[in-house]
Amino acid sequence: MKGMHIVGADMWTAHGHGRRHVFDALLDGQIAVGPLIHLDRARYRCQHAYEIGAGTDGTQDCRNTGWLRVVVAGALAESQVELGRERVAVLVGTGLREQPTLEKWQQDEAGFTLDDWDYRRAIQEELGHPVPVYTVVNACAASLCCLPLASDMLELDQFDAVVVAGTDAISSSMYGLLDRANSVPPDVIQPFDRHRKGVLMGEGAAAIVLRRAAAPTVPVLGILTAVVQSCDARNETAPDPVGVETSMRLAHRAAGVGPAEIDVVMAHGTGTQLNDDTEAQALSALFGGAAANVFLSGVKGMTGHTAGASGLINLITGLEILRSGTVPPAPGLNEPVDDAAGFRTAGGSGNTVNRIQINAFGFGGVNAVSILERAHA
Amino acid sequence: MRETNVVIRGTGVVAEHDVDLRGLGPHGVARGCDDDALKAHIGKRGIRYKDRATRLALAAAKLAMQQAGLTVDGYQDLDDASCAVIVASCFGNVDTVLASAAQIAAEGSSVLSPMDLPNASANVVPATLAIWFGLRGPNLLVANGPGSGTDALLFASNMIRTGSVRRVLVCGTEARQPAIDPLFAQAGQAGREPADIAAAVVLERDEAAAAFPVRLALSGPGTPVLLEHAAGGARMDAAASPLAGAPVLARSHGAASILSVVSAWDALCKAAAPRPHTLCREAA
Repeated sequence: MKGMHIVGADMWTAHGHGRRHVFDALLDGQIAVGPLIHLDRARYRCQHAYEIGAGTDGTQDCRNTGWLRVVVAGALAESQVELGRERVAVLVGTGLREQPTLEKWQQDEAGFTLDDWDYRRAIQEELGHPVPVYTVVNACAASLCCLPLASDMLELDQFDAVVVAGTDAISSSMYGLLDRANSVPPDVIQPFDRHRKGVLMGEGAAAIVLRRAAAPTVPVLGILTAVVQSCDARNETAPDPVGVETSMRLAHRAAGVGPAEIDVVMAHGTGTQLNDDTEAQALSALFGGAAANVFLSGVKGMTGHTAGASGLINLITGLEILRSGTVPPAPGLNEPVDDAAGFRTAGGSGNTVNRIQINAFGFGGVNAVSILERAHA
Repeated sequence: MRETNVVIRGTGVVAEHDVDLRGLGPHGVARGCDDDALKAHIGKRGIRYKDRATRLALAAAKLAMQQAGLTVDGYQDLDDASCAVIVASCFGNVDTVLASAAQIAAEGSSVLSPMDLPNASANVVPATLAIWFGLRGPNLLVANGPGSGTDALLFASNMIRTGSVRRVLVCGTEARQPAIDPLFAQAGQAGREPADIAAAVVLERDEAAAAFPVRLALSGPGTPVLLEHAAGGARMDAAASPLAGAPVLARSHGAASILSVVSAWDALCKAAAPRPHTLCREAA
């Protein structure tokens, strides 16, 4: 199959809801970080996060399911897919599921039922159709890890359209364990900067609608010409340079392109010492001299690390870059590490952007890389 | 173009001592899920910080990989980029998550053990299987309610049929999670609290079909999981395996469908030959 057509897309970050709204905030360099709101600050050294709905929904349960419902419905509305007449599936990638609400249930003994533990009931209720809903729990690469599954389903003609989504909210256990592991509590993410302090969790949800080929009357936002996933099989938490570089090479091979044909890399870029070094090293080795013409971008400095949603948020930002021709800035990236310094890291506009590489890596050594291309009229 | 068939190359099950498996085994079945038993099943150091669902998965996968003839004994780095790992587990790491959250609520994050960090991510199970066997293909955790195992089998079958990979280790695993038992009572599902149980199958493209006589057919979502034996063409729907209706299935969640497939496979092999498991072993 030569590529999947993206015919709908929606996202929600700490900046707010809406693909265009979030992209405008990113172009504006808005860093959506703030003092921790949904967790008790007295329990952690770290005091900051990139949270959604700060101050307005502190008591609400199942928050990430709520954002997910909105973005799935939004992406489907744009896609012109006919629910009920066409065969539609929804794949949801998440790192933590409704852990935040399960943890609150443990405290309050209320606010959570077994049906909240995956997204089937909520999505079916939102769409008003009994569509199959699949929940894939794959750490910080989760939403991009769903893309190869969608590709298989479309290629085997099991569905006419597949929604791939991602969602995550901050859980106490993950925030606390990262707090325990960080040497210095960060107050902002500075991907690829020499003086970065580490990762901060963020919240977000995103969804895209995929078809094998869109009807001529439906606008195609972009085409995915490669969607690959592989596993380092080396370490539970630390990334492996060989595995990371291999996943990028697999994606280039699947798309039939070389580094010189990539205009923008939407990096995973979490701001942790080891992850950024590993990713930058792999990118530098792969792109070599071609790097000077390639934008190295990513959203986590502004959105926080939105875990399972982050890959799709980078991808949808890529769709907006294709549309607008402009790459968002990288606030916080003042002194790039050596392996990133060869790339264009400051954002801006330049030659027409035709092809974007999207990276997502996660705990478990899971690596997902996609290649996104402009849809030629 | 000839349709790619998916065959079952090996299976493994780990269950509590007293669970009625309706005649399943004896080959490929390990009994006992307490710490000592699991250590003995796994037979390797390095499981100290692994959660229960991961230990159970390691034990079941070891049996399946061995029966498949892919490993001789225990675990080895196969360095296989064309083998995926798909695990179905609905409640696998709930113990780590809730224990950590309770510790934080009581004493703050400084008292946590950093060794729990990997287990805070539910996909630690497929990641651990990948590391212990050197499986570098796609690596996924499916957590989708009682149908999770069927979904995992569908994803695996799809990957093989499209040629994305040659082989998939599919494993369903659940561990007792007393902290959430009240949720089952509240939902009117008393008796469905997760058991300690894991089941694994190795699925493969049918190039060596003669050696592995049972084919698994799963044409799409919502269609039955059918098994067919090459010798005589005996067929069985996994939903009608000897385990159908057994109490253990209600408590198996992510492992349920995979357990049913193993049961159907076992029944077809036994019907096809007087010493079915020997046949499968020799073929491997």
